[in-house]
Amino acid sequence: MSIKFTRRDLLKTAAAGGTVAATSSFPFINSAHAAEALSVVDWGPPWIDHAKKTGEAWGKAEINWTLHSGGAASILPKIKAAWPNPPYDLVDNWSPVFLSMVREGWAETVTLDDCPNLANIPEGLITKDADGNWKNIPRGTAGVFFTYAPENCPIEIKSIDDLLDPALKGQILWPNPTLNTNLQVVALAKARGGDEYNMEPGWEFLKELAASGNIGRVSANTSDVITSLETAETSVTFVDQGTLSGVKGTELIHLTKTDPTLKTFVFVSGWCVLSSSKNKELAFDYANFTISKENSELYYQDVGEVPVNINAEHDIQHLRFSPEETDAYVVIPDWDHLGVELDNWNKRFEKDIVPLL
Amino acid sequence: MKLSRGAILLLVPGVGILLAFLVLPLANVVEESFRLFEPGRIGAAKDAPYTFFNYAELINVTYLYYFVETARIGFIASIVGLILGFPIAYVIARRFTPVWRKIGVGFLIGIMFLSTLVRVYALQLTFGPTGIAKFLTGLLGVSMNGRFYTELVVILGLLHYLVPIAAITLLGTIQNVNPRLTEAAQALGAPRWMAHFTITIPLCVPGLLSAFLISFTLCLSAFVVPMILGKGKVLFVSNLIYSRFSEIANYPSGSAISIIMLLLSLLIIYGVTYLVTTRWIKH
Repeated sequence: MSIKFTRRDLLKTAAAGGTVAATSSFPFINSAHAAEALSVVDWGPPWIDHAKKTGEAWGKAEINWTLHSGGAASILPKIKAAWPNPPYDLVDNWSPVFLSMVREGWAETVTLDDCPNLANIPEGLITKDADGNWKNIPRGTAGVFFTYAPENCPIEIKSIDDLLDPALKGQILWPNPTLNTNLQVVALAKARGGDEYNMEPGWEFLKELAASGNIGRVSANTSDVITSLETAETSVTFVDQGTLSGVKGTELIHLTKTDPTLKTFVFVSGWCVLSSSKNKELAFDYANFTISKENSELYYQDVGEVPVNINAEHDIQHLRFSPEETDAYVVIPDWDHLGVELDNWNKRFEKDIVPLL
Repeated sequence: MKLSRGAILLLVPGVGILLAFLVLPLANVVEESFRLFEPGRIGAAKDAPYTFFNYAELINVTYLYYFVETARIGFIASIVGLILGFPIAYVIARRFTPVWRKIGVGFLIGIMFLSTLVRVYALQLTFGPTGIAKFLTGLLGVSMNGRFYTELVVILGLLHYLVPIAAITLLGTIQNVNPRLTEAAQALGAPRWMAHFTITIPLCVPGLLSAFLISFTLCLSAFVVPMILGKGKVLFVSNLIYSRFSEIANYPSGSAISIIMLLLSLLIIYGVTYLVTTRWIKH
């Protein structure tokens, strides 16, 4: 007996199969996906490598990873565009962005029931809303500071005025304002008697720096920083501790306790569970797992930030400050003010600085 | 012109797609550009009042600088692209055998399908500190991190797109020029170069104009090339727009810059077309 299977039969079968697949499987796939997979936003290496490691150790659900692109705040428009259904459950970010998320009403309230390990974290480090509700899960604290590569840098940097030394032509990697929420210009302002509320001295300093030709590149993301320092394209920058952990092949001297004109800005990094998440319980559970004593120590080893769990041990000497050193070198800025001013500062950078580069 | 019912029905899907994916999003951008932005927020609030502020703040010499710089670098790259693309097209159209012509055209089309990131990072590796930058800047007597070299690398990045596009655009034009005209000129005593510059090139002006406009439009909207190769020092208007939308979340300002850029691009393109067609092609 011969089997006749015409082209028309083939098309009919394919169409029927496709219809069945389209009408039956998608709802199951979607609901299973929503229930079992966690969507987490994290930074590129070293953060993502550490996060994947802890994700595997946690093992309670599949995790879909998304990487930040550009500055820390660049995730916000993506959430806004998709709100109230952004495709993320948990976002890794830092102090100023937490405030924006709280302001928009995107940050889910967290309690000790949700994350019991928060009991081992100083409450002062937790971001709160106007009613005092906890809105994030801190994981680490670190600094943003000046650093340089002595092998490639033509001079030894002893104070902030050395940045203007003609020997540094093209050697400075200057972050654009969207990186570090423009703390780099706050640092310049503080060196000349200003602060985040009085930025004019900082902008004047930066104009001098731009006109000097010492700025060789303006970094827009962490990979710019790592690549530029590793390839010796530039040798001086202002950067956060975590990004520096990605610089493996170049020795760096961190200017955190060198001179009172070179300030270190301390911030908190960690998790924020989105209030839109369908997987809040899982998101809290994973976040809680990452801030245990053991995982906090692993976070320090992998990422290089100071863990905020009081039981976790670390040995980051350049970010360990005595009370006197804290007074001389450490600044905790008004993050809320920085977040509000960033738009103006970015325009100021475009108008006054870029044409001089 | 009267359209039949059938023709109208055939037009409906296309017009619908244009409305849904071009006109409506563009209208959304126009509307957003007139909204007041409150710093610290993500985009404009739904009930934000209307304002001209987003346009007014662009009336500034510095922002004019960005538009002029984008056009200047785009113009240089487009002209160099034409100068490099024309001989390639000429050789493929006039000198190659049919087999080699196919291989040549295939090669040009193949280049255009290369991933943007692959091209740009290949250029960065080649002309960056791990490549020949030190040798090249030493030869030119400029700084590797200086403005001149950065602009040069950006232009090289743009040429990576423009040369094959210009060459492909010019192929048809050159093929359509009757070679007997230059032969006649030469027979009457004109040297080859004079026959080429007085016969072939003028007859190729419409094709050159098309190639220039395509190249220039691509340059005006270039984003990845200046972002990666410009080291944050050479910024195109598209980079400002990206920064407004993705880094600062100031959608109204980003929308205003986008609309101005769109209008300027249209103005430049229509201006150049008008000038060349009325002053050159007609004469």
